Amino acid sequence: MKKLTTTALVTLAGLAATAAEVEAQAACETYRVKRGDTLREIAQAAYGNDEIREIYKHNKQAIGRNPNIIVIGTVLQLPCADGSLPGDETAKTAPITEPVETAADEGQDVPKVISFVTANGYLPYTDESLPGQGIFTALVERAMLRANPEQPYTVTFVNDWAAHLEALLPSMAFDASFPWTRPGCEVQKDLSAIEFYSCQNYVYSSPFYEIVDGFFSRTGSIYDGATHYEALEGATICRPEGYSTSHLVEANLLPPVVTLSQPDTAVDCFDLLMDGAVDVVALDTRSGAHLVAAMGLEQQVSENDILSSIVPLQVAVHAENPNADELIADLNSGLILMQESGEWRDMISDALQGEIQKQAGGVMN
Amino acid sequence: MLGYFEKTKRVATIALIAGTLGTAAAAQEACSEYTVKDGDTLGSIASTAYGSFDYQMIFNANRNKISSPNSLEEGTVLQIPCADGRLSESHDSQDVIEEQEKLQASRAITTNAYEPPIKVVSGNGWKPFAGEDLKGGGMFVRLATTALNRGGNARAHSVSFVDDWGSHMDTLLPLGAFDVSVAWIRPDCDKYDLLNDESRKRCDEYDFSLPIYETVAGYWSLPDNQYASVKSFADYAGARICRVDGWSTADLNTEGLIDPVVTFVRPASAKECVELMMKGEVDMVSLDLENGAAAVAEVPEAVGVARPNPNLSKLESLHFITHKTNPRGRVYLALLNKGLTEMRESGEWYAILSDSLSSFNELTN
Repeated sequence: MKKLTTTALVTLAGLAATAAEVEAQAACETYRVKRGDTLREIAQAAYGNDEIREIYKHNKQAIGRNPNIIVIGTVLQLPCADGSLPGDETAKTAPITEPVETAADEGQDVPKVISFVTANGYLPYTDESLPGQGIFTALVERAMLRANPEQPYTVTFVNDWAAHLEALLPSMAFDASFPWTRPGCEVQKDLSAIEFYSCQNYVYSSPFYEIVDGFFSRTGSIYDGATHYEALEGATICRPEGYSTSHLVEANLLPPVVTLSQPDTAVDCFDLLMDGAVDVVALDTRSGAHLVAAMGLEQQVSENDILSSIVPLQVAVHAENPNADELIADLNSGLILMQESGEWRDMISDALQGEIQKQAGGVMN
Repeated sequence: MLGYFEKTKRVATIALIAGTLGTAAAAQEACSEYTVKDGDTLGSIASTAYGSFDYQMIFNANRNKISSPNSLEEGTVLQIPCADGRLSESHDSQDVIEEQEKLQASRAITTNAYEPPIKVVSGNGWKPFAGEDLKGGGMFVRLATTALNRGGNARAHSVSFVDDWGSHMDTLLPLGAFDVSVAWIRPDCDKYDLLNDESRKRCDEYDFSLPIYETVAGYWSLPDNQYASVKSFADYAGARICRVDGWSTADLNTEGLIDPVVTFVRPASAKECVELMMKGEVDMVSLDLENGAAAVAEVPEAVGVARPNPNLSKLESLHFITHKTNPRGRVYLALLNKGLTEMRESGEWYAILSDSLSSFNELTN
């Protein structure tokens, strides 16, 4: 298993996917694959860059699942500068069934590297400071190892959750992001813009973990001990930016029923709660309890035990990513292997044990 | 108070003495509604209705109306349960339970994902709360299994009985042999520094459900004793306090009542405590209402005389627990909490209480 890890705060401008520069050689034409061709060479000739994804996107059916293997005689539609396709469909002949293992033939062994992106601050699930960089990070990496040990991948931390779904994955800068929750696409009435986009454009792995999303409020406030969601109407609710709002949607607690405050981090939310700027913090209860303890707020902040929602955490992949099917299949089969062997349980259990020891050490001081 | 050592000694009864006093409809009678008047206490109401100061069932039956047993509001309408635990003559616990079961059967709760059965463990000999020979495995076990089928749950589960209660905490739950243990007292974790090691361990390593039952801890004295009606725990300074040997004194310790602020006397039985009180050798007897009333009943000269302090009491809450290293622990507690909340609201919680008590009383008669 090959793994490279980098940490980068990536500027979005540099990653924005713009229309490929067209050097008008073979762009906007149909092209028949010859012996020795690779998609990369075709892209270079047509566009002057390595952006094979555009070609692949428009020729998925002709090329098949693996963009590394293009069959001699396959007719490709090379997109025009404006993204439209050439109209000529006459040059269709049955391809000679002689697969061109282009990578091997050309000696250009460039194995695809699957790139994952996540962010810090979602303790104990994803954070570079934690063992394995967080429980969720460790689970995903282990699933890749179990399902496809030869597949190289990277894990990068970009501390802007919203950007993952809105820019990094659509531009194919990264293949997958975690953890995310698939919106209730089939049942939810008022999907937000990003949720609608996600339903249309993202595919998700099986859940790697389930969390309990809940609420925290100042001890003794009117929200402490609320037994029905209606009790939170009119409140100012804090939920960090980019976090899924499925619990709030389920509870019918979205603006204008409530005021929503969305700072960068969960720590910000608790600061706002202590300042009185917000009434309720909506957060995963384990993660929230962890922060409350870390911030020394056990006496001042109460966790609501009644109003909660069980939320699955999954890996999200853009549907147009040529690696999508294979990646999701790997993640899911890796997860199954881990659950069957007990590895899933042992990994999480050990990580949670580490959390207990930390806490116990802290309190006894 | 109810450490695992004590579970085998626990016997719950509704202590009553035949021949109540009241005649008028407004009188405090078992099996009827009663409107609280100025000067009433739960103890005085129980005394008139049942002939004993054991108001535990009145508290249970009106849990949602009474925030604290010591602050009863004039005008509150209370339901005084019948001697057998029913809320009223026409109230049939079994009807309530059956109705909820029918409602549950009519709900189509489907899920795509595989959900492993939740492994519940309890123990024998804790009448009427837990035991294989009791109806549904005992009151608390019934609350657990019912909760897993309420509040949107339809959760497969298994129930086992392991009589070594200590092993639940030390081995069975930490190793994941079982998921949930029924049932345990939650220490006052906010007063961590004042707790003993075993209680601290509970705070550090365990997550707790919502309370499934709250035992009222009473502080009994003779009426002419200087400590009979003190208004704060600090006022017990200098008192000689009787508490059965081996039973926890955490409720008093966390109020600063430790040697030498007070003197503890530790005989082998509750009855001996009452005898010592009658002889004037101790000022206060620390006993939950049910055990207290039962012990008083065994000492004829104490009947109608020894009474719990009307101004002070504590609630000892019992909970379902999961170990913090259980990957699904918090999710299971969230499910149980949803079920419990629905049961409290539908009246099924109380119905199970009274049905379990009456079934237990039939067994023992």
